[in-house]
Amino acid sequence: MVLPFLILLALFNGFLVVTSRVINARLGTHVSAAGASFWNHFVGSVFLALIVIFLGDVDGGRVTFTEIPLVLFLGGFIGASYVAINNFVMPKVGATKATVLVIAGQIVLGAIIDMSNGQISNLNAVILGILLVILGVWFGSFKRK
Amino acid sequence: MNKQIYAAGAVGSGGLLALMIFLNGELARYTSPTWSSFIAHFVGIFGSWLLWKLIVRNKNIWPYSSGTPLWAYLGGVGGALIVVVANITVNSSLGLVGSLSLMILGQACLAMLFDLTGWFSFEKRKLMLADVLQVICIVAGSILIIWSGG
Repeated sequence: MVLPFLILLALFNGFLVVTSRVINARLGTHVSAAGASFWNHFVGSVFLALIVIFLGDVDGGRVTFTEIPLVLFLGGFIGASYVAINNFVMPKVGATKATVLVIAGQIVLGAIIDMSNGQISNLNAVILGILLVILGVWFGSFKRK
Repeated sequence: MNKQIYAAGAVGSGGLLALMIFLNGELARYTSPTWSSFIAHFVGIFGSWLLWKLIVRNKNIWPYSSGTPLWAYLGGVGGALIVVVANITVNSSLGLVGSLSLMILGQACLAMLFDLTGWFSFEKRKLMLADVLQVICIVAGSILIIWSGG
């Protein structure tokens, strides 16, 4: 595919992340943070089931459930908690803070996971990046008004 | 003071997200990205129902029961599409690094727009200099980490 289109598509995917989180957080103000997380996963499952049914073979999915280690099924539980916490926090601190602080936590822990797996090629740059992210989190701790 | 607790909650939930993506990524090696996302969402139905049952209990979660606009229930559609779209961009010339960087940039820009406009009926928020510096540092640091990984 053409590069400009791909760049737009990847940006659009970032838009999807925020839009999905903001809409679900709005639902959370009506039906509680955990209740909105329930609907997020329910609607998402129905939608993905349709995609798997109609486009399932597009990414060559061959599901062999018996071979999958049980621990890998825990992702859904962790995701449910993440969405609930996000729904709780977003109305309090706003979309921008909720979004970039989640990215901060995600990227730093992700970097630590990669480091412990020895998958980092440029350690100094990663440490500089982590310091920048921490500086960013600190900027947000200033009192308003 | 309270704001700090919410901020800590956001950072902590980002850590959960990293764990989830790691587990779902491993799961995708046994299945496919779309299947992995489906399984995670499906398990998440029970996880979030349990959370709701344990923590909230009395508040109603059913449609129309609380004057909730119908579109507010559709946030999950976007979440479901993310893996499908990522599957396209990660396997293109953008790769994982380019895809993640652009996704982070897109998230930060749209989140600021949502705060400034108050779309989706959240309150409008002004962005202070500290907020903008926060976005710049976190986005720049994150992209630096992504480009220096693997």
